[in-house]
Amino acid sequence: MIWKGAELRNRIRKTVVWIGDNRNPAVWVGGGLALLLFVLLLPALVPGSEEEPPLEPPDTGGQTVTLLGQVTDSQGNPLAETEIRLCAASEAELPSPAAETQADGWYRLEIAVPTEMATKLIEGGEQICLALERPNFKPVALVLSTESWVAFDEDFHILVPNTVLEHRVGAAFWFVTLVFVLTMSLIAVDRLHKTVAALAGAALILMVSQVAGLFDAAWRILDFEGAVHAIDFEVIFLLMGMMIFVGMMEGTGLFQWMALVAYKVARGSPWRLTVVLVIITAVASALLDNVTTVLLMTPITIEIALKIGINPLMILLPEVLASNLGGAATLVGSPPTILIGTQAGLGFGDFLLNTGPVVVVALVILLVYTRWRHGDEYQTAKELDSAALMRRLEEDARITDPELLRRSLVVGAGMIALFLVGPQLEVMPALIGLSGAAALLIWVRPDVERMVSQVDWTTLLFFMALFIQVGALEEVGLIALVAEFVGNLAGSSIVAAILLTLWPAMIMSAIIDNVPFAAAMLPVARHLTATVPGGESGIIYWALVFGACFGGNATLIGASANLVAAGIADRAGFPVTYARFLKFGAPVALATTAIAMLWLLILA
Amino acid sequence: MIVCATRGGEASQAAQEFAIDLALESGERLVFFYVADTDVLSSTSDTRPHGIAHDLERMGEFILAIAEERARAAGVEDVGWECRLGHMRGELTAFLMESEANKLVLGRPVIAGEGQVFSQGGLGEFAAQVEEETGVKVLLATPPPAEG
Repeated sequence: MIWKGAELRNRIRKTVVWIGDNRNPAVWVGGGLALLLFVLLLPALVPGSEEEPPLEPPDTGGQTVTLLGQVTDSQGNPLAETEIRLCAASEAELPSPAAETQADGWYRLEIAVPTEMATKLIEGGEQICLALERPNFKPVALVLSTESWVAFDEDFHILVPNTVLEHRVGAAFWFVTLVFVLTMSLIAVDRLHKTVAALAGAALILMVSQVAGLFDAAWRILDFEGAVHAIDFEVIFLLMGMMIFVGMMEGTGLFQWMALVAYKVARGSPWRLTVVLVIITAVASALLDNVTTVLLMTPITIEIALKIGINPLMILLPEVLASNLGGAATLVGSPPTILIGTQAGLGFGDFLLNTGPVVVVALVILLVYTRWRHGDEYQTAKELDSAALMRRLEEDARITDPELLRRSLVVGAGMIALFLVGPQLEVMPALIGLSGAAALLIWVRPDVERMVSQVDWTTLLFFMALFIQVGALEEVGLIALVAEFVGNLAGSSIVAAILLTLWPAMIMSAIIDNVPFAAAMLPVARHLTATVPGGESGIIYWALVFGACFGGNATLIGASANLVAAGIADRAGFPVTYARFLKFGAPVALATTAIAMLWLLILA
Repeated sequence: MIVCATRGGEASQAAQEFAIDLALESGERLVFFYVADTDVLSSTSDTRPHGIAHDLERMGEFILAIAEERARAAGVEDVGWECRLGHMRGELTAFLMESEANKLVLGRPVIAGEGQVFSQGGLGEFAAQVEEETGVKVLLATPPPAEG
């Protein structure tokens, strides 16, 4: 029996009232089960509520023609959830089947037609019109005839040409653009914590998309599933793994010990000390994150500088610049390299080969510049000859946990080896980072809660919110617009594409956080890589890496490591003003970016 | 007892020399004082609980040990130091109230900066506040003008 309409509603009401009036627990349990069964069986009871059966051709004694095709945006990215409908087909009266593109942009549309018409379609003399629609894109009507088939077979499978949908600049476009600009502005002027700003922006976009999208499809920017899809968990997991590893290394005293070794190697020469510390900091920053490296190196550097009788800033400023330069040398050196490397599929070895040589030359430039600028001051240093101070220095710079250090170094070496051979084994860097962290946690057995707190969840959350915002920007077409604009400026010149990526990235990274900038620029770099001849080598990505990392040296706010070093120096009585940092850092940023440019032009 | 709140910079050098002269004149005990302020990450978005406190404390102790050596070299016999973790204003006031200090020497900042504990304007205000709260006389030492 099938209940319908009022009768169905009446029966539901009676069932609920009967359960509500009865106070016997057994009846309650029984009633609950009955209700559960009722709910589960409801779809079967209500006509039409069951899942639609797959479309089958009507029995016309005809033929099923299957149309296969792909839909992409102007950057060649596959477009999921594009609605495909048959809008007209000559004079024949046909059903109007519809299909939707999958995540890879492909669709499969089955049309039931009389055999005669199917034959005519294949042989010519018959046309089919497809309507393709997707929110935030201009609708397309595709008239297909035999001449336009890419391929077909005798089973009436027809491969139609790929369709490119163009973005439509509408209200959603301006809304998402405004939210992103507002987010970046709030971060730049430090009015709101960057994670809060990014999260608020992402939440606003999703909420508006959800609510306004109910009334107008043009507002369907990003649903929840799309937001989750936009988050690159490979980046998140690699960051997380490296944060746990660095958290363990922090407690070993290795950095402080290395600084003392530098002091001993320098044998009282401030210049030699600066050279050794700059090299140590750059190497450490290439393997660990810059903030941690600077945080651990700065206090001991100040102590050593005071011991040898020199203003600590003479060593500290080159050291922090070296940290930012070193961060560009490897995949795991800094958040922008993790982001760009992971998303562009660039491995640890690729970084060593493509950015490593430039970083080495950039360090030489930094040292030459430091020597030229502060050479006289290095000469006037007068070491404090005090056994008590020396004992104190040695005490402050000892390895505090040799066993932890040994295990960390073993795991760290294993991770580097895996990072190097990972591409051959098809092991993604995120997996190596997580595995290394897990191995170290199992081997060392630290306080897990403390170790979990070593993960900078705020930064990870920032990345996730940022990915959602960038996903929304891609959806509404801003990224495509910028990519096309830069692409048009570059034309077919790889040199122009490199310059248009490198220098804006350098300048912007000196002013705003380089992570959101790199995240927004990545799709643009991807477009240039795909469209500009010569870009397929990935050279545009390297330009973005250099710009994002080297630009941070230009200003005090250009990198977190700069602010950390300045904060500690200030507490030691050596304030670093914005102007002082700019005078020292900006020439280095310009010169090293110029070197990077030369390198890229040679590669190009 | 004379307390000299100090760091390692130019302004602090002047304060240390002033306090040393004062201790030599009066024969009073001289204590150098430093507060390791662990809030160095507040200007960044990093929220990890780095073990920076210990490093900053050791850096402070090193700065104080240098000041102590300087005082001894100048002839001050009764000299020591105190290093604390926390915020400068609160810790200094607390130490002055706990100890038998009767004079506090502070150095005027050479460069006015937001990050500094005592900006040019804030120093006078802070000195007056300390005097009122603790009854300790506050003396401000001015560094010699920079060459050039």
